[in-house]
Amino acid sequence: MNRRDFIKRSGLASTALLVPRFLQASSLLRPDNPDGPILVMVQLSGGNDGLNTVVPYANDLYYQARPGLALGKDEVLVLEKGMGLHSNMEGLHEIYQQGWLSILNHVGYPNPNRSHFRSMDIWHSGSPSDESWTSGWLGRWLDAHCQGGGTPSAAIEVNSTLSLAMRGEESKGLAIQNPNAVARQINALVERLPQAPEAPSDNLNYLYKTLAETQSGVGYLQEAYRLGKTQREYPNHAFGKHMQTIAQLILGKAHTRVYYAELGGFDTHIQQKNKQGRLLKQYSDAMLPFMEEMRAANLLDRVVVVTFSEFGRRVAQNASGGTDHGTANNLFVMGGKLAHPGIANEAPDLSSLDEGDLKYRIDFRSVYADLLNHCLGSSAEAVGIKGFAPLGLFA
Amino acid sequence: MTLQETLHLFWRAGFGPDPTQVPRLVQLTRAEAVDLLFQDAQHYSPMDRAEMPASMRWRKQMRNNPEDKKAVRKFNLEQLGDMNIQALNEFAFSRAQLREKMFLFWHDHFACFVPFAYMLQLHINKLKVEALGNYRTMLHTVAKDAAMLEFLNNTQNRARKPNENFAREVLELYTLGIGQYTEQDIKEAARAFTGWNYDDAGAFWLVERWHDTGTKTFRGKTGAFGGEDILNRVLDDPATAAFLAKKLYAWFVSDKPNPKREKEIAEVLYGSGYAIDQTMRHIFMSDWFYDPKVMGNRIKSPADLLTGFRRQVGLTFKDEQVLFALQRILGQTVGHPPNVAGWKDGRAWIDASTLVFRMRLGEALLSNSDLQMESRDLPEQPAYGKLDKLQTELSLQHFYELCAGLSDAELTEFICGVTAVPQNKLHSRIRPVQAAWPLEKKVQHVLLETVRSPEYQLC
Repeated sequence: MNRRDFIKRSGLASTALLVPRFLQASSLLRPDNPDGPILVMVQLSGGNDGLNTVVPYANDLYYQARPGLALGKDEVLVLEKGMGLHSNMEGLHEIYQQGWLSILNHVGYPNPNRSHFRSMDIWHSGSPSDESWTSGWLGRWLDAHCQGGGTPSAAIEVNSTLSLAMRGEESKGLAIQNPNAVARQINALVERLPQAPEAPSDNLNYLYKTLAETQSGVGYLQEAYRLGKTQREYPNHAFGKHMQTIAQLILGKAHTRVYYAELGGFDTHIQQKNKQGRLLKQYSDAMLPFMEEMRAANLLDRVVVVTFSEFGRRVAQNASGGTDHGTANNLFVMGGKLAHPGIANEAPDLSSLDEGDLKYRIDFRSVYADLLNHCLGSSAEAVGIKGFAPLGLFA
Repeated sequence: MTLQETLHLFWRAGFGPDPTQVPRLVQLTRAEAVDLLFQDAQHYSPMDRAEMPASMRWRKQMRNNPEDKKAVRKFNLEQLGDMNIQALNEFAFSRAQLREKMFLFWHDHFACFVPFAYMLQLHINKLKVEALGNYRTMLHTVAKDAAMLEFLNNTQNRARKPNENFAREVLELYTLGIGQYTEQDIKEAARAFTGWNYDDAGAFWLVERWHDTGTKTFRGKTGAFGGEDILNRVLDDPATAAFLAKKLYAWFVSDKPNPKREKEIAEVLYGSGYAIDQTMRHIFMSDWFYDPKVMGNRIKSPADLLTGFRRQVGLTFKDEQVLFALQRILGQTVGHPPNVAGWKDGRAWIDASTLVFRMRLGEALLSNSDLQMESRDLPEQPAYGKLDKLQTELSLQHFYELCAGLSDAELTEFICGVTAVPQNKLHSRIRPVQAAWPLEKKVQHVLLETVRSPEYQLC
């Protein structure tokens, strides 16, 4: 048996190496709804300081807690309810003015954990804070909805490694930085594969199968990536390029339903002002062309972008010109079908703190419930998150 | 033993044999080979890269002097990085292969991380010392260990306001296993552990005024139990041996559960009063351990993959910090388990991106080629940045010597055989060497073909 026979036998179409990749791969995908909504998760890693992102500039308590760090009214882009965006976020301000942005304050969870790793795991898995779950909420969505159809590209993370959120018990998303580079790498590997074994052990069979599925999935993505033509200028940094890659795949009509991107470096214990300002600019500068691109392609009603961080930061500044790990934070939802554009709930309550930290009022798992319902044709229960009703974020 | 059996034993009880030793090892009987592993396990070194700080009370220190925070973090981060490299170098080059492998098992089992280097080093050395000792001793030791008490928040477990985290993990992950106890058991056990803390030197310290001296009812018995009583009670329960046996079977034998064999292991473990060495010897001596369905059917962990490779080709890194990036991309940083449950094993190591990276890695290490990857840096972990050319040094002289005088077919079979899973007969399927090539090129060709094959991912 040669390699081709093997790939055939491992459950993939016999056309695997014969027809153009685009056709071959799309026949493998079983999208439940090719014109369905698309979810883009953007993670600000390290714990973004939400209070200096969406600034409560009209609140005296804010200035009292942050004498060296607070931003005044003239340093923000005014929104509503006495709040304004960090002045580096002109792009996000434009998105807000278009009505494509909902800002949710007080998002968190009970018994907050201030460790990056634990809190990130809690957000990724959707577990209660006193439990450790080893699979992610989007991974379990893949388990529940995309099994058996060979859809390695149903959920894509533009990164070097796959986050817990994208790992199910059975299925996993695909981590990919540049579809062309990965396609080259994997084709080179497959080209030089040894002749397949006659009677492979089950784990060897699994490896060959994963490789064949990856090649097919990446080949398919590469084709979408080639077809998708972005029209906007994206900033020339890694995060900008990652958002452009996502835009390109969406415009190329990839059947991917979930995208995941990350911007790191928000752990601002020391000298926060410049560092956070620079990162917020990177974020905002990449989001505007992305959203405009979606609008120009009439995709705003299909695409939902969510931005979160593993926790917010302490209300009071520390002695090093920075802030320490906190708890509840704001979260952004972007798209063309928002029920509550603007600041969706009350401004952060700085008068009632829990040991110096904001108290959560919206559990992030309720947000997931909305996203699972509205974007992913599923429900929180279906991915093992029980007891959280959707908030009604979408019109 | 056959070549396959020899490799199997030395892969499961270590990080793969030194290829130069294989011709000698295949001459041994099973009992002789197992004896050798246990003898060599005595020759190990404790971890020593972290310096003892003036006080283990880092948190207090950081709280009092926020300006020192940066210095404290940097101090610890550098030493944690050095410890990680030391751990990987011990895996690769220590004579005590069985002890190092057992240490990795216990490190996965008692998955624990604190950002304080010396505290973590004390913890790691306790695991190493007791790695082949007695589980009863080990559990008592680890339960009174500063890193563990800190990691599982027992320093906040006080009579007036118990914190159940530590008690829950002891019952769920270290002893009985989920479903074998009630929430009430956790509450009562947590009371018994109140006040368990550590002192400035990192030694166990029972803070009397925080300890709940009242009567507790734990699993049907009532008394003024202390934490030690709880540990002894759950160790006396055969459910603990059964739970641990399952874990040992999954880790050392097969990711497919086998109740009959697991029961056998549990009986040896319990019957020997939790003697780890006797239990491991029983596993390695069992016929079922050499079942062809078991041999060569384990997906290498990232530590197995990196370490096995380094042992095979005598590989060293000019800049050892590159190991931080490699481990992170592969999904396993030794010294930093992802959560209390440890690493997910077996097929969980493999996703599309890790598989492609794993298959490219061997070639990059052998030929200094460019990986073109960005390492994903995480807060509070040593950063690396862009991963391009790996500056490596390797020594293939031993292969040249071992292969001198062999026919092309023999050379191919030998190299594939000692580096990958012999029963997959990879040597008959790779692109053949050409007769005109010099010996060095033949050796390098077969090695390259092997390390980029899916077969190489198994052990």
